[in-house]
Amino acid sequence: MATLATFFKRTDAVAVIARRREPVRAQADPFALRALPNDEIYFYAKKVDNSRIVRQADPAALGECWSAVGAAAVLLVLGASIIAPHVGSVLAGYKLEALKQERQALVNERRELEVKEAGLLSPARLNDLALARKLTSPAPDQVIHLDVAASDGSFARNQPPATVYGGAGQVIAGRATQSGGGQATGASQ
Amino acid sequence: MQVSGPAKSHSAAVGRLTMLAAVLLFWAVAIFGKLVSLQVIQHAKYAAIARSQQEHLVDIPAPRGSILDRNGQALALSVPVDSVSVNPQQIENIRLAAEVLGNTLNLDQRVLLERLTWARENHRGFLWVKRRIGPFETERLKALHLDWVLFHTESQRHYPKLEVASHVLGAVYKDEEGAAGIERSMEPVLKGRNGSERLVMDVKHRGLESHMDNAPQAGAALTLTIDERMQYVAERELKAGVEAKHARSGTAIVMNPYNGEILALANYPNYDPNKPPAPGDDPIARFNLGASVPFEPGSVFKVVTLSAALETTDMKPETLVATGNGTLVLPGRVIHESHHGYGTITMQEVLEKSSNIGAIMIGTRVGRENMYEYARRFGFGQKTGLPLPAESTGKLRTLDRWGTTSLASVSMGQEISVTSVQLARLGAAIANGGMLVEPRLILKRGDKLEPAQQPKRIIKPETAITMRQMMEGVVLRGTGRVHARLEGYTSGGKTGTAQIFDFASKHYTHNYNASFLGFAPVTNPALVVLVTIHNTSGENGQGADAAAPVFQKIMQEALRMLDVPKDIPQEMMASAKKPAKEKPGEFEGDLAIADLGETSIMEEEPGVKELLAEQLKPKPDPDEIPPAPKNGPGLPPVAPVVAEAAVGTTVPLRGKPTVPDFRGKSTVPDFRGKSMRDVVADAAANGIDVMVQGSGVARAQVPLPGSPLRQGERIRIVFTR
Repeated sequence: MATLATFFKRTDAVAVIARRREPVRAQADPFALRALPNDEIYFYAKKVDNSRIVRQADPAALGECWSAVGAAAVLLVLGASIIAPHVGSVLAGYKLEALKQERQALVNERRELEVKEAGLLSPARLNDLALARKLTSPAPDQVIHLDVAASDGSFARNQPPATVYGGAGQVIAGRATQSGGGQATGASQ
Repeated sequence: MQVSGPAKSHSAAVGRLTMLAAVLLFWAVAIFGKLVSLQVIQHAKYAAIARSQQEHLVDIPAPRGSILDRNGQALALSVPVDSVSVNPQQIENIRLAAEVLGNTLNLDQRVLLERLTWARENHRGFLWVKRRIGPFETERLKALHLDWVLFHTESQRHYPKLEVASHVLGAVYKDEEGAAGIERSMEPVLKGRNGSERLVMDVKHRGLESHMDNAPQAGAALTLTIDERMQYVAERELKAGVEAKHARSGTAIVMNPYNGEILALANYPNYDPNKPPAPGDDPIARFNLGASVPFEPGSVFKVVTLSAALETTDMKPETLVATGNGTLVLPGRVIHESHHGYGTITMQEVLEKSSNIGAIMIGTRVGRENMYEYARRFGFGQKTGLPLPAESTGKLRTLDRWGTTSLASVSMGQEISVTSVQLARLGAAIANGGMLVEPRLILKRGDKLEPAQQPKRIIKPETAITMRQMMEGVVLRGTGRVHARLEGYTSGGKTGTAQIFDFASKHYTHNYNASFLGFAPVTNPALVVLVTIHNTSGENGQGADAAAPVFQKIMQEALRMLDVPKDIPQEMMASAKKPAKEKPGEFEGDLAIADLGETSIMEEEPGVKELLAEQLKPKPDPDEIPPAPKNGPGLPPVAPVVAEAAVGTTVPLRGKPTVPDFRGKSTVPDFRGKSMRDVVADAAANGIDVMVQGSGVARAQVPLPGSPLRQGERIRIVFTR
């Protein structure tokens, strides 16, 4: 069985490289001040060519290797599955808080708009606008209350909500007994 | 024995390894110990430090409850706003900070610099820079990302309808605590409960997680019985009425007679609740005159007298009452009604012509006990239960404190003080068939309907119907015929004019409280309207001329708003002629001259004494001197006894009537235009008691020049430069 070294002809390559290299000590300046004492000992690299050593095939070790890889993968998945909810929770927390702030801002904006709307609907303002457009309240004789019995139905009905007046469910006596009382033409309103 | 080399080397290695293991063990134990110390022993301490760095306790203000009108229109709302504070100790360059904040928040940089410097020198860690800033300012300041600037969320009350219903709503202080009106009386309901939450933040101060500690509880919204359109109309017409008569103030109330719901409660002058009180503001503007300030009702009270007569005697509207030639002699006093008197007239005419002598004669038949009983039945002298602070009970003396002529006085609306709300309730009782209702201002609390008090029967239905018809006569033929008639609707009512008591001179003035109490339509009243104009003067300042026109405008508009069907046919309206102005001398007027030579019941109202005195103050322009009174109905002429009696007033009979205690002077001299020195000298020479006010030249005086001067009367003189 060929090893990787033999496959790539590594032994030849090492021999070629070895041939090209010059010995370090031959080129070293004997008079140069060395940076470290005994560097030729400590930094000496002995060239060992073990390319001819062929590793013996070991199926059991290979199995152990794969087992280790599998176990690491399982641990990774487990770890991820444990951490992922927390990370998701943190991210969701950011989003939730941002949404809460947005909601509060919208609620505040709505309240401001309600104040503006109420100001725009102020009777004093509406009265001024009406006067500017030369609108006036109808004179008493301009308000025509229709007789329902006599009406042929061609008039638009305008039944005032009795509860608005009576409040708390109380209806004005007489108003309740008059069916359709208080109707008026749309033009008269 | 010598140990061989390898064995020696092995034992040395074992020794080194043992040493290393021991060191490692010690190191591990040390780490474990430290961990135990950090995680177990000092857990709470370090957890707190961590929390303080990561968590922030955020207050969540509970929004104050809104106030709505009966149709859901917002009358008062709270809006969250930002306030800005700084920690002066954290600011590196105070001058720069003052410049930045001043520019951004439109503040005076010099003042801000002084405040910041002072706060830093006094080691203050907190300083409000500006509270309740606008959204634009917030945006600008937040864009600067200044670490030493803190934002706080606060709430600000808004009254978007400005002056509308200001006296009903009231106002709040800076911290949104109710200061007046509904805001104050319903404080527990409107005020919510603030909450708090813990917000976990990351290093960039971004919200990561929040835990609610206390959930905020918002204040409940209140729905009032007020109809803002009707309220506006009432305020508009009241203002016009007060200004037209150059009066001081006024009140108008629109009430549903069946359940006591107040659809409008207007006072003039009024104020904008958005603005805090400022020096120089008119103090009267902030008083709810209609509920808090009692006054003598005058002829309006004759409604009670006649109702009591119908119930307790055999009198009927057509029963004749002798009013004589206009003079009535009572123990200690003489009452003069008119120069010729009405003679013998029916009870209905007594009401229509507002005859004081007729009312006294009827009251005499009713009797003291019954009169007192019916006044109590109609709710006078008691609070109405209106949910407003400082509601007055008015004043109804107990029977044991009634004098010999108290029955006569009360019969025509004197010696009793009432509030406008009480008078409106009187009208409601007549209009609804004899039931006393409790005035209501709150329709709903949140979504829950406010239960209404069950009305209490106080007079028989037939009595109420008879009174309605008699009060219709007032509008058709009596004192209200010119100004109180409605177009398309029948109406009933009663005018009233009462003199105002001057606490300074201890006498009644010739200024009036003019009132009109009315309802419409007569057969099936939909509304009751009361109008009171305070401090009118002159012939046109009486109830028929000052208050009735305001009643007519408010009632006409209110009936149209409610779409109440007309009860006068179109043809009758077209053919109906405009009522002619009464001929001179036709009516005495409804003036109940109150100066009976005794102290007023108003003197027993300590709370309102200053207020009423304030009302009597002249208008802001002190140079404007009111015209001297002319002879005529309602105003006493110069002559002390005879002429005064001729126009329907009363004079004391104790001792010699109107005998002056100074040399020949029986009328009030004219002090106007004189210096204080001259005034005091003149007064001393003539034996007149004067009360001076101000400095400079005398500009105004009460009583007016030419008025009859009573014994011991003090003249108030106002000096201005």
